[in-house]
Amino acid sequence: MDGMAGVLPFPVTGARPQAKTRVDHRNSEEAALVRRIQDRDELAFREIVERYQAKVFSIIFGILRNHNDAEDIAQQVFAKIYFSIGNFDFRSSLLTWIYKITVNECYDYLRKKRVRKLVYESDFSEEDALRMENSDTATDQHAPVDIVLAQRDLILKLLDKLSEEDRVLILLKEVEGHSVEELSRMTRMNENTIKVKLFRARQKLLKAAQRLNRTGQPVA
Amino acid sequence: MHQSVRDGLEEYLAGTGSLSEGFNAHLKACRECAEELQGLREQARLIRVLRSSEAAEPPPGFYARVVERIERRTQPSIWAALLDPSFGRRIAMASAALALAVSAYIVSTEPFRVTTLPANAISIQALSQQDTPATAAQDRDVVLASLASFQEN
Repeated sequence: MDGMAGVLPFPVTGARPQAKTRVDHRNSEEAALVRRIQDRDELAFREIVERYQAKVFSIIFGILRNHNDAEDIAQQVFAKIYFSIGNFDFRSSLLTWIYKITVNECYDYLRKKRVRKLVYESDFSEEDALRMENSDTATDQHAPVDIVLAQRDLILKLLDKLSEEDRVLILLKEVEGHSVEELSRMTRMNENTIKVKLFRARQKLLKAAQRLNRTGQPVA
Repeated sequence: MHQSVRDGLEEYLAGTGSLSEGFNAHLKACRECAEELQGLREQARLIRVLRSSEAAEPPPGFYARVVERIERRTQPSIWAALLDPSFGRRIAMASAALALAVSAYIVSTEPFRVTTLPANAISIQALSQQDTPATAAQDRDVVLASLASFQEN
């Protein structure tokens, strides 16, 4: 591994990438790390990988529940980070940016694999649907595995109807558990804007779910 | 959904922070908002199904494999070499030279005889009659053509 220092062929981008530094994030330790990567420091890139690899794997596994493909997608995420770091402009935190890339890669994977038909659409009984509606816990420990899988497939399908930004925002809020205040710091949008975006995204998800209930097929 | 509920929505869904009296009072009074809120609460619960239930550690050697993937993408392919302008020009010139050489070879080895066609009327007529049995009328015609084309030196 030590022999890899300076081996990585950084992409030739012509002029040195001019990061648009406008933020609080500009003076952070992380920003310094990003600048080192933008300056073709391979050790800095390695540090980013080691710092975020567990998080990336966790996100991927949360969405896909598939260990076999998780590493392939994670490799793709970091390769994309490597090739796109020159475009990172510190408008959001690095974690937000990496989170977005990871979620997008997961969705690209799902689209390519042609997500299997929802259990919900075919074998879901009315009793199971009612149980899902009335369940209060975040993950119903007593729900059969197929119900949980159906729920996961359903929500993934509905989230696919959102824009990238809205999808990441909702996931950061509900899956990662960030508060509105934290999201505002991470994304550099003010709290009211975050609330409005979250509300609209939630409304879109509700409408998509209602259409699914009526027709059996989610409508874009 | 009315504004008084929207304002407290995220705190309500997160289960954090105290909700205003206006929020609670409105929910009691407005069935529409209460039902919509219930739907959003269920939706949030569904989204949380995507939380990873286990710590996902990358397997050993992960960074090395990331580097390999990056190096594969940055290695030039045969297509990139062909599309390179200077290399492409050389290929084009070599192709043109080869085409020219092949054409010249074909032309030079073509087995055919070049015969010069006669220019005057007598010869043309003679040629046309070469392989046909002569008749009296044709003989007369030949004589007449000869007389017509006779030029006194």
